[in-house]
Amino acid sequence: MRSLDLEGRAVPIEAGDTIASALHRVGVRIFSRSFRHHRPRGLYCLTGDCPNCLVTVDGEPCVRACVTAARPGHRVVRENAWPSVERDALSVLWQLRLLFPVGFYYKTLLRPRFAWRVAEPLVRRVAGIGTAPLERPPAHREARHHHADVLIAGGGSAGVAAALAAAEEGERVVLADEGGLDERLAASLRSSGNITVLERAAVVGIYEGPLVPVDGEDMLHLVHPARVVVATGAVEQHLPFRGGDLPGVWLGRGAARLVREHGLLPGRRVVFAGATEEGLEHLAVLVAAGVDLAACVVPASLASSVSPGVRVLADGEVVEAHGRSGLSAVVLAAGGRRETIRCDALVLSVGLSPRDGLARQAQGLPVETVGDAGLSQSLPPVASRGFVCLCEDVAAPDLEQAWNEGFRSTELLKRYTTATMGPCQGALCEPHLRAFVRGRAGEGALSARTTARPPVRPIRLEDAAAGVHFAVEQRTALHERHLELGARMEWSGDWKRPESYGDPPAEYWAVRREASVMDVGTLGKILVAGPDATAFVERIYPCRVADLEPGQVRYSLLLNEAGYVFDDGVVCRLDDGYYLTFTSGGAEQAEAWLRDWAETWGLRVHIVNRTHGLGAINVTGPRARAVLETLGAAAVDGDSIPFPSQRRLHVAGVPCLALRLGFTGELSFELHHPRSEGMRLWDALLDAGATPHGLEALRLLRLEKGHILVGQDTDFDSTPAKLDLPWAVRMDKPDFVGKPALERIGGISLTQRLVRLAFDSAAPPEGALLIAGSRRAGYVTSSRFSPVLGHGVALGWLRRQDDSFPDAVVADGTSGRVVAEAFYDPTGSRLRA
Amino acid sequence: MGLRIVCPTCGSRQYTEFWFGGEVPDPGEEEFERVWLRSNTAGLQRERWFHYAGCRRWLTVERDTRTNEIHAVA
Amino acid sequence: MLELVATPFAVVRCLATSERLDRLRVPAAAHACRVASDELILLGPVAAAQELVAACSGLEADGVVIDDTDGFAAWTLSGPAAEEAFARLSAIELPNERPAFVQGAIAGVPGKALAEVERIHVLVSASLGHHLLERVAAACGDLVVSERLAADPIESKRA
Repeated sequence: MRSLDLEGRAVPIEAGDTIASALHRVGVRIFSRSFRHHRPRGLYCLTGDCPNCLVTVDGEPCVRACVTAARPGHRVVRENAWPSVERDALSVLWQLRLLFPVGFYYKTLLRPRFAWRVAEPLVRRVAGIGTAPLERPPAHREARHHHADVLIAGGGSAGVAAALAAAEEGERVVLADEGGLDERLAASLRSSGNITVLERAAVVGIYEGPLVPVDGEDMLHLVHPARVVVATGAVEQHLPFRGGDLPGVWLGRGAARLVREHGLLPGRRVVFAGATEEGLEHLAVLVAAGVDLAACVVPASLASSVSPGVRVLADGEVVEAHGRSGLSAVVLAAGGRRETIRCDALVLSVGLSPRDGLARQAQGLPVETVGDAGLSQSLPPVASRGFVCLCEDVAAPDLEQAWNEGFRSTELLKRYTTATMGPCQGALCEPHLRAFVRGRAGEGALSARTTARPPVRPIRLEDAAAGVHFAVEQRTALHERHLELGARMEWSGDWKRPESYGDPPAEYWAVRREASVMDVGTLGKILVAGPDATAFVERIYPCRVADLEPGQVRYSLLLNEAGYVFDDGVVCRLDDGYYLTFTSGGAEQAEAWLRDWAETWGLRVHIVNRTHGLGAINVTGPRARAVLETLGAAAVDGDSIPFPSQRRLHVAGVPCLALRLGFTGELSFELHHPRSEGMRLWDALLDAGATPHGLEALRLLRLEKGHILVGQDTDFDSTPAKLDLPWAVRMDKPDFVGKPALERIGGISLTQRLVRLAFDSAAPPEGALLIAGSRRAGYVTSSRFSPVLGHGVALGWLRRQDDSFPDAVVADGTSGRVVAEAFYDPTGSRLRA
Repeated sequence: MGLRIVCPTCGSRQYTEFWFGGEVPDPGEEEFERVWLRSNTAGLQRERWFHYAGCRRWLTVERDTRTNEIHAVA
Repeated sequence: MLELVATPFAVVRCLATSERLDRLRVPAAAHACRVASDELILLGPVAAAQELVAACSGLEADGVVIDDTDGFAAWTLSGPAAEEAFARLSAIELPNERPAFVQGAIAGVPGKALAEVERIHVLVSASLGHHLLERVAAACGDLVVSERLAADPIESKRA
């Protein structure tokens, strides 16, 4: 037998059952406890609009039982009660409601001071509906894009008619409905071409574009229509009265659907209150199903349409409902008299409220509304008792209290009481909220509609993240090699790079004493050519570039228009253009920046981004030259390739552009080569005796030379002068990016400088404050213990104190002093070898 | 979420394919104004966008900052 | 049904003035894809890389011609479900005519696509080739039947 599990009890499932109908069949009447007061709540709308039937299914909270098909094996747990929904200890909150008025969290538990600290964890435990399934990993949902001429939200008769009409005009149509389509309507859509139907897919909102996300069962559909038709229909109007939220009170459509689709009765003895033609249809369905109709409250004009033999109270009204955990009687008033009628179901069909949230949130976009969703909202009479907002437990007296406290418009009442902010998003309660304000303040801006925003139907965060939940990882050609060598990979901007191969100190010493290789393929590499190439690079860089001959290279900073350093790299002069390098993190922005300036200056240059097509391996260490010679490189001696310069070489048969640079402080050859030859080159270098080193070793190596890392040692407003790199700027050049700014601020004496600091013993942690003369004088940006020197070395920002910069500091208890030159090999003899 | 820019080379694309490059400065502006001061117009603004996901070229767009309507793209 | 094919493309990048690119004689074996007014890429069989570079030699006077085959990773979505797969990877609307060249965000990264009938070639930066594979596997897992290496990608251009 097919069954689902309700809190440990097996509940049989019949064909066509929703979770709600299956539970109703076995006598379940309380489906949840209300949000604030823990009042018992039962089935009401059966259209997925109200919050009463929200249950947890298979660990997932806030599932609408009335529109969710029951499947064998479903584990259903009702929410927001303890220990059980039938006997909820927290229902005492209803008895204590005077202690928890509207906005109570602004007013109570303020004194004594510790009261809120004690109370908050309890409030948090009790608050909310359902428990988020935090133990299971989020599902990775995918998204699918649709391009259409029209998106139709809603597959009822109005939506389908709009779809067919649009398809007839040759438009590409996407139609989405949060449930299943009626079979006849679905068939008519299938026979017409060019209509994509998305069933069990809720339209979540309408965004600029227009872009319409539709939350389907298996994936998120992102529809890009030229226009949208909203055909979401209307919900029957909610009626607030005392006791009106008890289980047993039904909206007409809900009761009729229970009978028609599931063959179940809402109750044995039914009272009906209706004011619409549609309501009479629901009444007829109930009568045909054989309920005992105790009384019927309708306007006098409709009284004659009611079947004979039914007790009619013409022009009557529902005063209140009685019952403890379910409806037991209603009090009706008619003709000046009141009457109490025993019953176990009250069915209401008093009007319609259009579901127009989608249309109202899409102002300025091409959206039209058809069908009941476009009905004009006629406000109901002002409710004096009962729950106006079922989702958030806001009763009519709560509105009155809030009004008396000074919140006197629909928007303010909404925000203060939270009415309309629950799962129904105002579908049931907004008309009553507005009616209340209009009753006090008259027609006008104060009783205006509340702002409609997406989502109009609840959407899980993991579904909203569909198709965008992944991180993008860039890899060099040597990625597999690093993994094979046991590298620990870390993020470096958008790239994954080896942090180390397991022994950073050994890697460091290999560079200082032997020969070592590092994958620097992540460097930005851009080729600039064209008639105006020289004029272009001369204006881009703050240093002199136009004097470079082919074969020469120059290290340079990159400045923005404010004169601040935002990147650094190398300029190589080729026979027919320039080869520029940038830091790994700055590669992408560099291309955009270069193109922007080329266009602004109207210069004829060709800019080619070679970052991905070329790899680069830095061969560094006293034995670097020997390794290259072993691999067949010709003319790598100090005269053929002096420091600094670049030459074309073949290493192990791989054509390379070799740059002699000095970032690590040792003899280095940075070999730029075609990406497809990277592994061959790397393997050959390792075979020839070089060992690999990673980023951790590099950070130490460059720090011993006092070389900056842009972004770590620089701030957003670091000028070359502040970085102690005035030689990087030639103010006598006619123009370069940042020159006017540097001219303007050039006269201002520096208050901050980046300095080299040598510490007596251990290195202080990065970020440590620098203290000079018992005053704060700056902070450490980079710091390591230097194995070769035997003490700590660091870079840090130092502030001027009174008239001069201090030259002795203390950081984290260690004394240090400012050093003028590079810590290691200050003359650079090792890298000039 | 769905602001669309029509790139002259690539066609209509979501704004997430572009990097925003700031207001286009007035020709007469001095360096200080150009770098630090924004007009922040409520209305038509000429601004730069870089189509990094597509052609990797800069566009000058005229957008109404109040409505996000794009009036011209060059 | 979807097949994911590793496609060996030759990619030659040409940068020159717009007029010169308009007048370029494109070899029959290659697709010419206009990336920007001053940039064009030729996509052809990998064995023809040198030929394609030679065919553009006229541009080298004041332009740039570069064999950038190494700079790209290319995969082909092949089969009746190719367009469905593409719709899961990109918000770009493919034009109706074929072959068609589009560029923009594909699988969350900058990419280019050459759409033929029931085959869509997708190119991304070489450093993101693995990423494209992962995305196809994740987004199109229910569609993918197999992967294979292709011998010759430009079937539509075979005489």
